[in-house]
Amino acid sequence: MKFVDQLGADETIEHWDRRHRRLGALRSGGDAGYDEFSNEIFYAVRLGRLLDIIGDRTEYAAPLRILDAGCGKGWFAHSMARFGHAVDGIDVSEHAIELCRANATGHSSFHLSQLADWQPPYLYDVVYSIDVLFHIMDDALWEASVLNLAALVRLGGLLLVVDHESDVDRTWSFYQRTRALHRYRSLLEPAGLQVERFVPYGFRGAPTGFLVLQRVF
Amino acid sequence: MQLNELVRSWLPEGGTVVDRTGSEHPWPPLMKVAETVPSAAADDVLTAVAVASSPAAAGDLPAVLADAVPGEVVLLLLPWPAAELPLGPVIQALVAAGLQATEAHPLADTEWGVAVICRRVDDEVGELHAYLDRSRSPGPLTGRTLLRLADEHVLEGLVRRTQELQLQATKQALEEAKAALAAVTAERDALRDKTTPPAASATEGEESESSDDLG
Repeated sequence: MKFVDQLGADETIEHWDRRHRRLGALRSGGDAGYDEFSNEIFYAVRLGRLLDIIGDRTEYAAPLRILDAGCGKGWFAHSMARFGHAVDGIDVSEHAIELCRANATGHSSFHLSQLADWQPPYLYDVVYSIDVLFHIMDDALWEASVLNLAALVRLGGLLLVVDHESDVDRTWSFYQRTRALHRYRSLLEPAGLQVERFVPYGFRGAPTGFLVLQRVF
Repeated sequence: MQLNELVRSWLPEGGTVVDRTGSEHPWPPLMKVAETVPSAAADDVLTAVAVASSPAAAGDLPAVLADAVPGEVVLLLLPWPAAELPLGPVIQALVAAGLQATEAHPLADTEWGVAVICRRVDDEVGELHAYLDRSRSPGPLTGRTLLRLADEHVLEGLVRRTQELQLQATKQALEEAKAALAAVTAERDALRDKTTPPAASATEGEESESSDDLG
């Protein structure tokens, strides 16, 4: 199915900034089909999955360096900072980044940037992007985003991307396009990332989950 | 990190700490504490050794590490703060003793500033594991994995060295700004002293001139 009015790159930025201004703290970056209370559970479940993958060790005086790519209003990034990790959060919404900065805690900093453009002078132990990549409608931009995030991961580090566990690409709406998992594999394995596993959210039958990749070279 | 938190992350309950630190450190209650290493190296045994704080501490490193046997996992406790670790002698001693560092942490709750966990591997270098997660490894250090490690080492070193210079320049600029502020403050105070009439000279009912407008 072809959606003729799929969002372009600039329209996507406007869409998400508007959504972050208009909707509440959790619905704006979570699932707008749920109320704030269901979203509270949805966020907590995903955070638990994330910790299962990243691990529960922490070192505040020499912290794990983490990138939250598409951090929205910073719910996950603030949690990671509270856990003692050093977190960078990036997002295309100016409003969301302003809120992130206002609520920042611990070792954290927030920047206005697209996923494909963020290039700091250091590497990350963990890069994750939660419910963001399937909102990039343009395939070339999606590919550039995934490859750029992968390039930021150090040897032995993790890249976690969220998508459906599916063998086919599918466009769901003007702002939702999921990609088959083999697309990630074929894109990232030549770049030194190896698929470790897929961890489903397991929340109310959602088909989404974390694709976990580790840098092996 | 607290020392016992680190120990508990390495040893299972009932594991053994071979205490060669010569200290009174209270090891985690669920661990056995021994004075000698079992005949064969095992994953549930951690040998703790320590370098005491002294001006010649770096010189003690070779002797402290000399008794490690092949395969033994050593918890090396060092007296320096992490940011002041004398890298040269520490790395020299580790390599000379055939020890591969697998993890290093600043310590928050002991007289020692740093803990290094290392294993005696001699020339058989083992896999790296992810920082804070020894269950995850990129695999044997060969081919592209080794190439990646070398490239990260060189380029991260470049960035770190230039950032150190930037940090030094920032610190120097800060010191200069502080000195300039102190000079201006002293000049202002001197002016206040000159322009403020003695309190006793003001007659009763007469409004004393304020010097606040000089501030």
